[in-house]
Amino acid sequence: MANFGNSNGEVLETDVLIIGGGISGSLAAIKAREAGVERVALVSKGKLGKDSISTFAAGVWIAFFPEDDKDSLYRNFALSDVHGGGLYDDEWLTVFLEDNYKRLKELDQWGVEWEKTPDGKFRRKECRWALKQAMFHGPQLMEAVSKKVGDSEVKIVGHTMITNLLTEGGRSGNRVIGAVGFDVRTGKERVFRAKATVAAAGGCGYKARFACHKMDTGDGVAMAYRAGAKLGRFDEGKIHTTAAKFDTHGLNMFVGLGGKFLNAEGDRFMFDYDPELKDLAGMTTLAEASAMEVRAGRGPIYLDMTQFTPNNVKEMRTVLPHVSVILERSGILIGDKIVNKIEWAPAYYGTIGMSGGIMANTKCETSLPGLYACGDAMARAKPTAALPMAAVTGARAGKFAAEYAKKEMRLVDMNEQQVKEWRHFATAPSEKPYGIHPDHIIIGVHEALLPYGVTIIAREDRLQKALTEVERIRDEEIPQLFASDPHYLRISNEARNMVLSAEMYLKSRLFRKESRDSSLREDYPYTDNVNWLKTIVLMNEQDKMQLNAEDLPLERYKVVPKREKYIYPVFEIATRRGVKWG
Amino acid sequence: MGIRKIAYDLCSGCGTCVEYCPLDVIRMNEETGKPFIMYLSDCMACFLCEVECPEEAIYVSPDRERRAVLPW
Repeated sequence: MANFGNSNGEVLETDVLIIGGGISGSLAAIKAREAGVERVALVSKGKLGKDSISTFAAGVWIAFFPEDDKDSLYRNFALSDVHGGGLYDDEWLTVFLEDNYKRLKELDQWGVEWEKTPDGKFRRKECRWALKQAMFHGPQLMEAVSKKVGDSEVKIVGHTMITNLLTEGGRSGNRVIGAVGFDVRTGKERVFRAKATVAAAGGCGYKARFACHKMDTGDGVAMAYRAGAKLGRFDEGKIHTTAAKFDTHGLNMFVGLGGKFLNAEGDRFMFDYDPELKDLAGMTTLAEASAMEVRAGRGPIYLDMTQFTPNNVKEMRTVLPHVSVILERSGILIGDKIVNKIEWAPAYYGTIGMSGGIMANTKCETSLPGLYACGDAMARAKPTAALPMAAVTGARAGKFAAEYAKKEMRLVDMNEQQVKEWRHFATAPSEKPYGIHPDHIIIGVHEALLPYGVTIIAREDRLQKALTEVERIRDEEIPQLFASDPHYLRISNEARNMVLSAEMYLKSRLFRKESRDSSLREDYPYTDNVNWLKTIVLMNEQDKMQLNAEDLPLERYKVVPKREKYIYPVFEIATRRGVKWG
Repeated sequence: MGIRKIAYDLCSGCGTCVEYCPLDVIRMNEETGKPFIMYLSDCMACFLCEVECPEEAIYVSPDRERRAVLPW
């Protein structure tokens, strides 16, 4: 076994500390051990392998194989509207196209079960955005990956929520030297000292509508913000879609098998909004088009899969067993037949997938020495795919954090004052006799953030109103949070992190005065490649959130979008379809 | 509405559901040696407890537990 200095006490010492146990954190841990670091500890909020969105990954891996034309993929990603229309990161895109297949092959070697052809090759099929997906057997992915973590002699600390990072001298902006948190069942404090720390604690899904992401509350982003790290890309948030009455994923599979979208008049509106890809259009286009149809009085929107053949259903049951049960109990699926269409509606997906997070270079180094970021905790430009990107970034974060840890001979002493301060910060909700239930704050954030006029087709006045409400919750309600036990202490800390993520999102959306994939502003309906080929970054400076727009380093880009302004296509199509906006 | 039922006649008290729940909804009753639903409002109907239960003792409903705010 790897040797731990003080694993029975309250302080655990390690060389590399990984915060988060999804696919990115798990790969970081495995790769850090492979790089020859003796002590690697991984902290997960629940049981490793069962507590992340990777656990519920829908069986789809957007895959690039060595024989694919990388140049054409690069151009397609870099320039297309549905991929962010130019706000891409050329270095990460290059790395992603290279590493995607390496990670897939490696997962195969670790025992992940992929759909294969009779001669043993990975089977790929067309999916949304006209890309190709490889398919694995959903829940088995993280079973194989977490087994590999265990086999790699990584110290696993489960059921523990990390709330804050420790910094050298206790000062914001300094080197990260560990982290503090608590056991979510006993409330017992846990302190970690580390030479290098990897933030892999996922994105923020706001516990909102969508399947199986309600443990992702922006914890990694919040701890990095409070430690003084540079963050960004929150305006590039993502919009998913799911059933109106229940949470399900699996849309890649549904439309891959021929699922079609209808408005209330039975019109296949996606034929207008994306004439090329139609129902296979990107989910942002689908969400925006659905919102436009609803505004025109043609809602609700339906997903119709009633034409599926028994073979289609069989394939769905193999790849998505969870989803099939959900469809059965919702009266959609009976035996080998889909019997009803599903009411379908956009679901704001926060920073999960491809969106805001901690800014990091392709070594996953952040602005703070000793802190590495990966997966949804890292700021990711759009032209990637969430799951393989989490694997690609996780592997790199582990490798480069290990290199850093190997160069550092000793652990830096903790600042006792900072440990005390963060302890009080985390436990404040349990130190009062009564107060506000975290559910109240969670629903308050939903009511401010989730109307489609804020997240999907935004306008200055509505964004400002939502921000005012989020700031009110932050100032008036967060200090009154009450946790009756360690479980509610966890939910309280999660709710507080959600409020912080909401503030980052709304301020970033207000900052960007143009329309671009998933950041539509009906007061600025143009995609503006003259003035807005910029990344919006933010930092905590003297307890104030400071935002800034940084030019993309276009001089090094292989492909640069034309420096022009053009109306965002959804607005133009909506006008043709008689939708009023402005 | 999330996890609805643990059938105690089938449940062996193995604790898999308690260990696996990503949101810690289920806890063990130390007196009876059987799990119980303690934090229902945090259940996200992920079905993990039901799928992983070796005795098939758990039933989950896909209806949402916490009130959902729709975009329209």
